[in-house]
Amino acid sequence: MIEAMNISVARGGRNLVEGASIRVAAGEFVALVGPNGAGKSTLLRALAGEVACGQGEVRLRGRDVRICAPDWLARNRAMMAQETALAFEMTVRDVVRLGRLPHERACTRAENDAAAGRAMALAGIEAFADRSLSSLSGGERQRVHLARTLAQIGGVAAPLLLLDEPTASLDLAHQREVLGLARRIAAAGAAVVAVVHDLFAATRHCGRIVVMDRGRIVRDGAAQAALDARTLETVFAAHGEWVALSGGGSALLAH
Amino acid sequence: MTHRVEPAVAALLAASLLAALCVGPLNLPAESVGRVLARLAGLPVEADDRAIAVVSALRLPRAVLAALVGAGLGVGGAVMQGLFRNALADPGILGISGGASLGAVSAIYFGAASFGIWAMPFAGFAGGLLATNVVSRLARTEGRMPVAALLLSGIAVNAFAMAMMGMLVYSSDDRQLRDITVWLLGSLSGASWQRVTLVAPAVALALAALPFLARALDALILGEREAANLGVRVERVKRLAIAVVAMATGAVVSVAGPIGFVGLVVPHVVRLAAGAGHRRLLPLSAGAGAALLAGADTLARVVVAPAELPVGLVTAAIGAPFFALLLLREKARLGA
Repeated sequence: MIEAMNISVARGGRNLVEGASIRVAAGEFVALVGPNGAGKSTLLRALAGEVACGQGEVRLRGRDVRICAPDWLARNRAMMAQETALAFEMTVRDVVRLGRLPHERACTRAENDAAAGRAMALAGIEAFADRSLSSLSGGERQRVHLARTLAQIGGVAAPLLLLDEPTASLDLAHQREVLGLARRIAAAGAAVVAVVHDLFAATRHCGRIVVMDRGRIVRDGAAQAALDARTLETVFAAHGEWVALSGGGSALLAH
Repeated sequence: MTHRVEPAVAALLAASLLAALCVGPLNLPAESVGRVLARLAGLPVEADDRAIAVVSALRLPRAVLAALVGAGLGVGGAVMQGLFRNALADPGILGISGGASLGAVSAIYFGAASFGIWAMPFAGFAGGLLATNVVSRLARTEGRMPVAALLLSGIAVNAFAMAMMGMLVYSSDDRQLRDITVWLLGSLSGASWQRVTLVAPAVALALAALPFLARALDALILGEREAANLGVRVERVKRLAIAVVAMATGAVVSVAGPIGFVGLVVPHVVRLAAGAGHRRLLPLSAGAGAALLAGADTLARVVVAPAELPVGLVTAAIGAPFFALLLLREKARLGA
């Protein structure tokens, strides 16, 4: 569904992403991992069509994301950025409702309100729907922006969902909830790519891990294969043990 | 409370327009003004000839002009604040007021005013558009206009316009100096139906563009990047917003002079009352700006009667303390 072919993204004369190729199909939940400055966010932004590639191209459903109409792109992929600062005070409901902007022409007001409501329910933020965003904690705000991103792809068949550190300021329970939610959204037919720093959480929730290092994709595959001992050592300067989880499956404890 | 903002602004506008028509050297009761309006609308109603003359030739064009100028400034401020994502932006931020002022002051200095009543407004309007054009060109890089670059270019062009005006003022004779000074204070004393017809199309055009801007400006509250991700063509929105505000502000300043604080304070107050959503903010800012300026102009006509104050002094004298009060209140709320 989304495919990047040998893309490079340069900024200020330096290649932030170099010769990266990745293909994500509907139903997949991919964790993008790697040390700081590895180019994870830049790759995500390139997949979103936000930044131009100096080389190579990104295609979503076969269309070049830098050439296709912005509103078509907005209806088929949603991206949650690491940080979003509001210029003026808004209520949570109004922020989430903005996610429906690309659908405002095609859907009725009631449909869009309902889609925003469902997104708020999924992100578990209904309780503070009418509060001002600035009155919320960092973690709560992050879930509001997640809800806005989900609202954007509500009702879209097989959308692309890009999440840049969606769990950065969340407590353990909410981390688990958000990644579990992303997994369910993938299971329902979306292609989901998330930048995740916590290798335990990444290996626990994502079937496929893409490891980046210094702008390049160095590993791409099932969790155990992608994060082998050598990769852990060379990329993360870490060691790790795989632990069996009580609910089945295993996850990586890196140290 | 937020749902009662529209009726409140409408009532305020109606009240200040009515006051503008009733109050003056010849005080007219509301009932008499009502008769005159009905008569002017072609209804078979008895009305006093003197009242008809005063209302139709003097007060009505002036009230309408005040409302148009206020609406233009209010909506211009709201659009610029949305575009710059900053509540301190005003319609003059892109050099429009500076350019329009320089145009009008040049017209006074070089005696263009003797070329007829259109000369000064035209010079002002042209100056405003020219300044905005220069600012947009200065700020453009690779087809984009980053707002920081727009802001800095606006400061540069405004400063240059100020310097040029300073030169003109410095080399003016006493009569020119007085004309320039009075013009720069901002006044509606030259109101006429002709001026109304000059400003009305520009303000109407600005109001007509609002539906195309409102949701895009809402998305911009999240930032340019997020707005683009939501499918908003950010650069196109910027160009449309700048064109619209340049037209409206250029027209307004060219007939009324640089009237301060309306474009800054009105959207700010409306945002506190009705929220940041631009589908309500933009029309409400137009309405509230119109009400404020019509009211302020009536005050300007009566406080030192039989003379009158420049309305720019009244708006600044009311606006500045009011703004300070708002800041104090917000500071307390933010706890900073």
